Amino acid sequence: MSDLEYSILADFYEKIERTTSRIAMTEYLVALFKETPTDVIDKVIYLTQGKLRPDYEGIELGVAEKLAMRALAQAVGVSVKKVEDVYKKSGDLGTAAQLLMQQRRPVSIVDFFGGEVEAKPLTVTRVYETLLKIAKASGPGAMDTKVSLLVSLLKDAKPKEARYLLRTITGKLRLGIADMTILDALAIAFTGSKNARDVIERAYNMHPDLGHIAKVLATEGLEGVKKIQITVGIPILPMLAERLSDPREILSKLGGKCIVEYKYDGERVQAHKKENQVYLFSRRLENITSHYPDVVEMIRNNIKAKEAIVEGEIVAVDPDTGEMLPFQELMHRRRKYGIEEAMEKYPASLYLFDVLYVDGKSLINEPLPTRKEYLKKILLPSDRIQPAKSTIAETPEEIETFFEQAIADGCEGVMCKSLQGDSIYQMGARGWLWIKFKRDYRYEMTDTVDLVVVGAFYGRGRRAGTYGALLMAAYSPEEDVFKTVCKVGSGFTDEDLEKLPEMLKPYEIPHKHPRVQSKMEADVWFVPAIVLEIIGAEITLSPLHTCGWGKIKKNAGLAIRFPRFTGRYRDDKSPEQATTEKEIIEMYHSQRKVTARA
Amino acid sequence: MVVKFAFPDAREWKYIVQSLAALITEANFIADEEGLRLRALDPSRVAMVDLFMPREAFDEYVVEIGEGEEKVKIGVNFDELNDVLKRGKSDDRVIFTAEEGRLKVVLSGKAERIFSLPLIDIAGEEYPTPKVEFKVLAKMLSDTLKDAMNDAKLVSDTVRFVGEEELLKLFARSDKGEVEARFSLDAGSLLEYEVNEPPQKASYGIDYLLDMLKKASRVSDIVTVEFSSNKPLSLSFDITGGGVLRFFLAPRVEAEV
Repeated sequence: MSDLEYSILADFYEKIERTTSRIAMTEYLVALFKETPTDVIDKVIYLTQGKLRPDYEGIELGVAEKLAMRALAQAVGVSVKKVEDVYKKSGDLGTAAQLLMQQRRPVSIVDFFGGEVEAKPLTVTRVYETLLKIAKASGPGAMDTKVSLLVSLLKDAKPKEARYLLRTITGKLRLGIADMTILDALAIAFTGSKNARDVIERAYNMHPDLGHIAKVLATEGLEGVKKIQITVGIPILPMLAERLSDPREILSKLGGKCIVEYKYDGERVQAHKKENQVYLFSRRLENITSHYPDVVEMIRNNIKAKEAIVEGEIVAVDPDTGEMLPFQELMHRRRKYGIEEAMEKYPASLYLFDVLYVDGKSLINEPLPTRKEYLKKILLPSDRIQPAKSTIAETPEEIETFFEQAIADGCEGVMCKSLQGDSIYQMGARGWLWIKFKRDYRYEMTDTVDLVVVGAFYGRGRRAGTYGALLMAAYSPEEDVFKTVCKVGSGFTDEDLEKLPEMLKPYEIPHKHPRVQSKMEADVWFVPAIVLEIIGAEITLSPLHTCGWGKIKKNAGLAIRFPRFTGRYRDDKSPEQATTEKEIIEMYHSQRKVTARA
Repeated sequence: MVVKFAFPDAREWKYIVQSLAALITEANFIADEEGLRLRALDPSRVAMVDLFMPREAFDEYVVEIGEGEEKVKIGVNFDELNDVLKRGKSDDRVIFTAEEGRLKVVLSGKAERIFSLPLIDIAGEEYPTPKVEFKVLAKMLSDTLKDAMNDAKLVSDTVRFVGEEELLKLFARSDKGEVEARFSLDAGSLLEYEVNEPPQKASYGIDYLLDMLKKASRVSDIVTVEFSSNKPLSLSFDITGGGVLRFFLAPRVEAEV
């Protein structure tokens, strides 16, 4: 089996870390993939993303910093105190490791025997296999096992390799390479052009395991990738919705008739059933099966199919009244321990709205009415599991009436979905087949947006020593970049202000991230990662922000006026799931109409 | 295979084995035509012991080497051997015989006492000597060096050797305080002193040095200290009859960042 030296990977990481250009990032990836032997392409991709397996398998690499420091101290032959000191000074354990390793001098008499006992260079396979052992070590003595495994790697590591090993092992590699960038690079590296990207992305949507896709591509070519199908137990990238605030416009986009569904204020879930085995995946494709044993039971008992993939919303209900509780309450269920107790306090209901697969048949290319038929056929409804409440609307009034009812019932709003012949399930895509209609769109910008923190400005006076304001951006999926839309300084409590630097520090980088477009010069830049819910008074034209640049007016972008943090950290959203540039543009248009009407 | 060697003074062997036992628990003696040698690393691989006794040092030395072999391995547990040799008296003669998986130790004085120990099979590698060009060589009384180590231990677990033009200095420093010892030919504390490219500086673990010195200072009154900047240190003790007991110790280097 051919292998790749880990030092090649480390050199590549260093280049990626230094670049500010997204194009260069892709080019480096292409070069790396071309150099990587087929046998280890999957491992290289996982490691580059700072993981060992796709997220949905739930293999967590994160080794506590304390443990990593212990291993580093042992490997270098210094005290843990020394490691702590260097770490404090450099602010990053990877850099500390590199510094310490550079200073490392022989500590064993064996080191003076001459060239006879030379360390073998680290390979990707050795690093990967060792990290996997570390991740899987459990039970009594697991800590010591983890430390000694890590020491064995570090002893043979060069300083630069140690830098990235330490970051990888503590879950802080953070190169900020999105899946989409890797898909681009794979297409170029293995087919010579970006044209194959669509085929690869389709496979990725059905089987979001980049390591697997790359391996198939490298061994069987594009033909092999085309054969990749939906597999029960492996999550599919969820379909996403656009948003509009005018029911009239919604209807016209959807062809004059649509299904209107309650948009429950809960957690969207993709449930897979395979005989008696049930898997639950979050919107971010995390395996959340262990959090909801009650939901697992419902799927097992109330879905009358051997194999099925269904989608719905998990909602917390008040055990006393049976009323739906807001999303925040449901989050009490997202815990590692005390699940039984939480289950009693916050029981969950499941409202199903789609089905993607039934007994060997993929339904993603079937129109929505057909899928709804299937759902009806396989679902045995009860109090706790039932289809999402819905109606068919043909007039804006019907939508509005149903919407009012949804709000009254404790929902966020409604989803309007196309019933046309082409209303297929668009995996991983945000399109006009599904349109969100949420509360208060129509009056002013009282609706919230979810924006990504990309930079910060130092505070003064009472806020000296922390951030005065954060630079927030919306996401552009077309260009895969983040465009700034406001600088937010209000709405933060003292507690938030204390928490924020701590939360953002790990993402700090010395320059603007290549995926961020900004006209402002922030004092501090971050890798796009943290999503905050922001509310504002209105959206205005602004020459300072890049979101919607030139789309409304030449030389102007869009900005949120009087932005405020609502207090809600959207840690359930990845930066790529933030409000998009397109949505901001739509919001700008829709609010103009309101003004005109007023 | 049969190996038999006798040594006139059992006490000398007691000290040799005791000083080896301070660092290693088991190792192979290797016997060949030239004599008996032992080279082993301590478990932390920081220190190495290197013993050589030429056949002339024994008053009886018989090695029957099996066909196709060049040497004989005698694997022993040093704790056990140490216990036996502790029983030796000042005018005892000691005779070792290795045969059929046993090591027979005879302490012969007024009475003849016979001990028999199992030989153990140690797969261990054979180590080369460290490749070091020593830039400092100092001969001094073993006890003087041992005292300096005990002084230094009051404040630290590391001692710094500094070889200056005419002066050998040993330093120890910590929050508790500082200790310094100075040796020179002029003061008479050094019997011999050579230094290339002064100053030469290196630090070593005191516990290791004390382990080496504690019993070896009984093997020989005089120790030869050799070291170079950030390179291993060597302590050699001459054994009556032409043998050498030598220790190597890796330097201790705290990363300076």
